[in-house]
Amino acid sequence: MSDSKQPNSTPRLAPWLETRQAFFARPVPDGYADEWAAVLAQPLAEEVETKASMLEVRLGEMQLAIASRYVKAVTEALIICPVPHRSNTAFLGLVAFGGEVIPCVSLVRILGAADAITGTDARTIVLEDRPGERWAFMVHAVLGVSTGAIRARSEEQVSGLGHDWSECVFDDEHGRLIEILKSETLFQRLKRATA
Amino acid sequence: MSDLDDLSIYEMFRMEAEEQVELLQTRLLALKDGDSNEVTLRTLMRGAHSLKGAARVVGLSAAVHLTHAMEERFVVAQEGRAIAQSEVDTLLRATDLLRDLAAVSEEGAAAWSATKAAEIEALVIVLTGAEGESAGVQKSAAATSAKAEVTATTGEQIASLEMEATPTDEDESAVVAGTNERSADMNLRITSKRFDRIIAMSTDNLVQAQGLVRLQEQMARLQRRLERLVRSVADARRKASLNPEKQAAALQVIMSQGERDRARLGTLILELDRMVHMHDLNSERLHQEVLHARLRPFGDVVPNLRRLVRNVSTEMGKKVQLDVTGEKTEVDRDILEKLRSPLEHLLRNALDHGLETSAVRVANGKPEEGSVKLRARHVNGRLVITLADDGSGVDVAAVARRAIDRGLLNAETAAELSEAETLEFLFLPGFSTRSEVTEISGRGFGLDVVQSTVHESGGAVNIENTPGKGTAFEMTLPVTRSLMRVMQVELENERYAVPLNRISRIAAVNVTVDADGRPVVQGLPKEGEELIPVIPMLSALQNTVANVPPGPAKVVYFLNERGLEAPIAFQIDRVIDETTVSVRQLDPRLGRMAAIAAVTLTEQNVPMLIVEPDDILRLGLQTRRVATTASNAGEERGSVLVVDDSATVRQMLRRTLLRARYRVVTAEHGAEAWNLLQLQAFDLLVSDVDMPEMNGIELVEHVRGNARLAQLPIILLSYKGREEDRRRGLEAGADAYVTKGEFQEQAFLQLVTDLAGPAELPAEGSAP
Repeated sequence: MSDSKQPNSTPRLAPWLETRQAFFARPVPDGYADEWAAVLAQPLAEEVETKASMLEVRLGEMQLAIASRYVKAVTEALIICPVPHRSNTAFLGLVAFGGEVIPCVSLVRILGAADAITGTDARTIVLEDRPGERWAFMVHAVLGVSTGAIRARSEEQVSGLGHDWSECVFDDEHGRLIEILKSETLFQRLKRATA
Repeated sequence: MSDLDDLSIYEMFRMEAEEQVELLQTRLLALKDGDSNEVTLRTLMRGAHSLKGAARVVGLSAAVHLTHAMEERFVVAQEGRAIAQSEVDTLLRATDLLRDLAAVSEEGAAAWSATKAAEIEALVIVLTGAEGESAGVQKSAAATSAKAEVTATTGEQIASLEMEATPTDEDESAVVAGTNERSADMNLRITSKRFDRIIAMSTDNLVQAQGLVRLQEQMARLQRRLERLVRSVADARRKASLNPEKQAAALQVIMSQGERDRARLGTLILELDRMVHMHDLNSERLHQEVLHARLRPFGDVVPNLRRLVRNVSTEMGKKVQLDVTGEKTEVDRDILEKLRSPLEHLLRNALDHGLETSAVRVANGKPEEGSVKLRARHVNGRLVITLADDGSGVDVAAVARRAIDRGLLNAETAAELSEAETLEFLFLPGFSTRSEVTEISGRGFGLDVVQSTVHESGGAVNIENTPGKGTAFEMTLPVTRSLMRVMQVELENERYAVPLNRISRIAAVNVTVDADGRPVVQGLPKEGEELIPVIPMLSALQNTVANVPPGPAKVVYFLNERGLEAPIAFQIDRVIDETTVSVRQLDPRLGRMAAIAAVTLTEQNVPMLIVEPDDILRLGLQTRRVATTASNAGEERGSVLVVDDSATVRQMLRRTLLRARYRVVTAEHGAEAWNLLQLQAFDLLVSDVDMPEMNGIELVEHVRGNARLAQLPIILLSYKGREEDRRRGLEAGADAYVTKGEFQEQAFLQLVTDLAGPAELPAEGSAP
């Protein structure tokens, strides 16, 4: 279909359409294609570095970072109410926080990181995926909240977590390099654990 | 969202239409992307069905006509005739029309119907004529022009009907068809008088809180004075070594001060007592006021039901009288909202299936006018609603035949079922004894919606059927789900809340054993049945088998659904207290939890589960039966759970296993299977691998990670036949991995027998 027959064209657009036709109808300048070919042949930057705010936690021997935007609360270890014949190795039971009753999941067991979490440093983390969908899990300790650069994880930085769990690392303000838990995987596993 | 009580029926219909259209369009677009699974089609069918019901209530017969055609098409698709892309376009055009309707005011509805009648008729022709061919939009367009003139008269008729049936009562509440959850965002309307009382009591609470702050400051001052007094004693002791006379004088001063402080402390404690008492009283009153603000008279739903009866009976040419009693019965407004849809379904069924035509009634010696009686009342702290008609009653034999035709049971089993058991089939999805489907009812999925909705509200549905004389449906529900009187009990260091209105008594008893060595306790004295079984309540909750040791024990006796003491007792560790708790619904992500009705928070802000007495009784009796059978003759065998997202595969496996005399329960995906595994015992799990919600591997991991289910035999059945797929399944914990491509019935049945043992059901032809 030619431009002049376009259904949306009006007499007022005619001059603009002529200009456009004139612009695109002109011959390609010398060397234009080669120039583009050279640009496209250049290798991509190895790493795209972005900054983000992360909650850093310790689970057994592992130090992990969780995107702060999902974290709704960090609180003292909450008492878990087990649910008969539903509580299992992954789903521990229910906790109360801020007047809400939230499913509590053992991230330790899901990750296979360490044994039961006890001790005075233990904390409960409340995450929210979508509005109203909250989960709680316990960690051995909270290391802090830090802003830093995110980079793709290279093989030598792997500390037992598979790529489905972590693809990036986080350079925090204290010079620590911490693996970031992939939020999609995290919420997917939390959801499965409560199913 | 605006206050629903302020909306007219038509406005409610518009809201409903908007929601259902959005749902329909989303799912239709998914169909367009090739997602034509059973769940999607069922959702579409329900959406069209709900919209049809809502349109009927407001008398929009054009919309009823269109949605009925849509529903029909979805049913045909469910039966295997896929919806062509061109038909998806047609269906989307139909939803566009309905969306337009949702934007039209009540005054403009009749005109809209007249204007759109030809287009609606054309769409209906395409949708209903598309069976067996992909007619598509082209045909639709042709039909539109060809039929426009022909249907002009029809359009006028539709318009005139609507004008006659359009509601005019502005103050009526509206029907909420379908199962959309609205309560979370719903505004509540309360009288200004009640609101003023709540404000006054809140203000009192605030004043009392400020009084407590002042009291706290006074006590802090007193504490500082006492600290100074203690320091003075120390000073006096130091001075005593220098001057005994001064010591005596100082001690006298200190004692006088101490005496004044003690008196002051006494005054403050009295003041604190008074304030705490006032605060308790006021809080209780405030609580009651807020609770009552949630209650509405049952009569709120009645005008819509009367309108429905009028519309449907006129349409069907039947004379019907609706009698309502108990309109002032108070019901929690959330429950009342949820009841609207089930009541409509039951009424439509009564009018369509139950009541005979006038001619038939007269011929049978009945009054020409049919009667439907709706009654609401409180019984034992529960809301009981009965809807009874004086029609022909349910043909129990026809129900059994239909169940056999659908392959749900064989003739021998059907013959053994009681009438009540046979009638249970009516609550199965899609079950209907009607050979033809009408726009009023007859699709058969109304009753399963009734049951599931009532169950969601914590209630139960029963049918009482008298052939030739009528049918009565009785729904038993809680009056409110917001507050509940409970008894807190302790089971292995965990607290549980037991609804007080379902406790017959709690007693300290002496557990003995009967002749078979089973633990028993004294039940209600009856003829020849004085001893009843006792089991630990926790084992019923956990669905595990455990015995109560002989000796002293505390036990709870529950009331059954009919208000009678159930013939089984449940041992508890300790009674903590009787209290009123604020009821919170369980997180829907957790799915259905057997024996748990809801959750509340203790005064220590820890979740406490509220048990469901009916489930406890059922699980208790089941646990007891399993224990008895296991101790006497070995565990019952032969129950298989089949999980597959393909209806065809499910059906194929089900039939194969039924033929081999196994009991079979099916689930559509892993999450549903996991819930079923919590609710009942199986001897074998046969699962597909690739499924939505929870796949087969995850299901196996869940099962193996659960102490009770860890030993359950599992067969994975998948199209994936690669070695790594097989290894993955077996490493997850499956006992066997069968490839669907290599499926052989005999080999499969041998595997089932090896893992689950021989089937328990008697072979065909053998004695029962």
